Amino acid sequence: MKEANKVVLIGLRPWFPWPLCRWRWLTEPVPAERLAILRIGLAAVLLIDILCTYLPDAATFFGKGSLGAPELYRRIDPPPWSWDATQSDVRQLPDDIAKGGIFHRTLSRSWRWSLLDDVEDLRILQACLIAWAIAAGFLLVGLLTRFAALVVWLLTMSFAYLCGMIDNAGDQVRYIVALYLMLTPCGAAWSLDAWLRRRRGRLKGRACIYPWVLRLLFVQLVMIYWTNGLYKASGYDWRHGDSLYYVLGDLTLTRWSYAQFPTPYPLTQALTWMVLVWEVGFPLWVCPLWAWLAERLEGIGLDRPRFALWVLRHAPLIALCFGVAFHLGIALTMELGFFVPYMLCLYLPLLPVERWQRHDYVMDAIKGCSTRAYSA
Amino acid sequence: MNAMPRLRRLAYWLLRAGLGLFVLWQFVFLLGLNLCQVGHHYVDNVTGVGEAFPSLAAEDAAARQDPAKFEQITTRWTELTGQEQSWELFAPDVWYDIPFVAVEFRWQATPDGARSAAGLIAALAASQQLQTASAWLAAAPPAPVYLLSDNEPRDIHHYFRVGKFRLRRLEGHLDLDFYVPPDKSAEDMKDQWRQRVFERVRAQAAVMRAYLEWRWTRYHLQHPDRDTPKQIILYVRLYRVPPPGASPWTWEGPEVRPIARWRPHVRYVPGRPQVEVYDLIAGRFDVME
Repeated sequence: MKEANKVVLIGLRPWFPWPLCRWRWLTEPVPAERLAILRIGLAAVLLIDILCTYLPDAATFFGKGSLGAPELYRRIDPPPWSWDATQSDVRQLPDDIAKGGIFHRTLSRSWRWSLLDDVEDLRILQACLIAWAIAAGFLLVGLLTRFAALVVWLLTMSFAYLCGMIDNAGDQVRYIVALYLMLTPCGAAWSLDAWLRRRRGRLKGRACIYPWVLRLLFVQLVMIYWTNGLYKASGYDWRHGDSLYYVLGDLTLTRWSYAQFPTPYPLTQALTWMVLVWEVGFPLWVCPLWAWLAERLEGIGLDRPRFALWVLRHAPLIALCFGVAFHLGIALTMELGFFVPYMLCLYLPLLPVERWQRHDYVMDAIKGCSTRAYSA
Repeated sequence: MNAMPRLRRLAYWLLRAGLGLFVLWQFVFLLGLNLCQVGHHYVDNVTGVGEAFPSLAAEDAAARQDPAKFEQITTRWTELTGQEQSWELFAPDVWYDIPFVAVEFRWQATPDGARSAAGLIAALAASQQLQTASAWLAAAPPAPVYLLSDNEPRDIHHYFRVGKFRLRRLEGHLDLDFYVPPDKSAEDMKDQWRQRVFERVRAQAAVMRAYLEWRWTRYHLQHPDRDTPKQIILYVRLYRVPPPGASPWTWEGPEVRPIARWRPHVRYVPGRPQVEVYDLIAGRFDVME
């Protein structure tokens, strides 16, 4: 194999107990581009978010006299984590174990934290917002990537808990992705860091990473839709097909007036049920059994109609494409801030981006090697 | 690897084990917390589930203790790492009532009738026609100023919205709806609504106060000649989406209801809510205990 075609594994390989260590889905390395595209997507959206919604309204949401004044949140939030409560728990641990309720003093407190907790000076907060934007820019181009990811996560968390009321589910997705990026070698590909390493001869071959972070993000994606679907299934409006009609009539959210573009009720009803079925069944739609089932059916001669077999084989892909269309529909009809772009970031690692570079041999190389070989 | 000093190798293996345990914990946490929350919701809110699982129905049931403990621990983990897991967009139900907040600045401490009376007395006291008008104007406080939320479309039948979603999120913590179930009338619901207004104001008094201060500061920057008003009132403006198929089709409303008031010249008792709540039944603002 040529040197340029060699697979170079970047990052720490997690130890898993048997049988998980044999599970290829969890252990088989993937091209680093899958993580790189997530990094680029998140950093780009975050940068726009900071520049468009945080910096212009900094005085409104942060600092003394603002809607996120520190003294305001001290009155609303539960008491924060403290050493005293923890020490008290440690002292009384034997008694608490006997009663079956350990660390209840510490656990009854909020563990939220912010590096900017008591900062009231708007100039300092604005400087931090600028630092946050710069870190997002570094993360985007992949310069000092790990450090930039760390700064992005620290400031994401810090601003999140300064004025938590202004965030939505999209921001929640951002916190999660930022955490994972900080813990992974997200600058292993498509970054200035990787380019510089290659120029200096310290990185040769195709970069691959261990897939655990992508698997966790996929499970997170599944849980987002599935739990949302289960909540929806318990509601009257979703079961009766009315939800989308009322959502489109919501004057607080919609991008334009329902009176301007009245959508036929039967259409909103059909779409409501489609979303409900898609979300409730999401774990089923994206599970890998469909291709296996299609093969079995084909094997026993049930290969007609061909289209049905194709749909069966591609059920996960169809479900994911529906998800993208669903989010684009939301972006078109509703003003939910950066919810849609952050959610779409979760789809980015599912794209076979390494194929766009015509480097199919990377995948072949990965498949040709055993997991044992990577640790050597 | 063989050349690696023993200590370094141990550290490497510990790191690998730590990462592996973190990944496994994340799987347990993601599945566990989300399913606990959904299960909790079903047992408490969905008719029939509590009856089907009587051992889970009571809040203090033994079978609920372990999931509750797990939920408590994982919730702390979400707070520490920023992985909140409440995925309830437009679920379980959507809203029929669409609330916006609005504020009013009033420069008179007394009701409108007294304001008119003050103006009338001043007018009567004046001897000439021209003086009458100017005396009335001088004695009467400025007319109230009523300001809509930046998020409320000025024409609900024609608008295009971009931005301001963070402010909307914050205002969403202040407003509330006044839902009327199909089998009840507004009159039947009044007591319940009153209770809800009290609960909302008690829970969000600090934010309401900050919001009212912020609205006044913003207005004052544009109108520096204005004195501090005697009262700043927070209203909810409610539009109602008509049922499907309604003809002619349009939103009902807005119904405008006051919910809280801040009097900038009044010193509120420290430690108590720094705004007053509107009592829908008595028709007046009350200081909260």
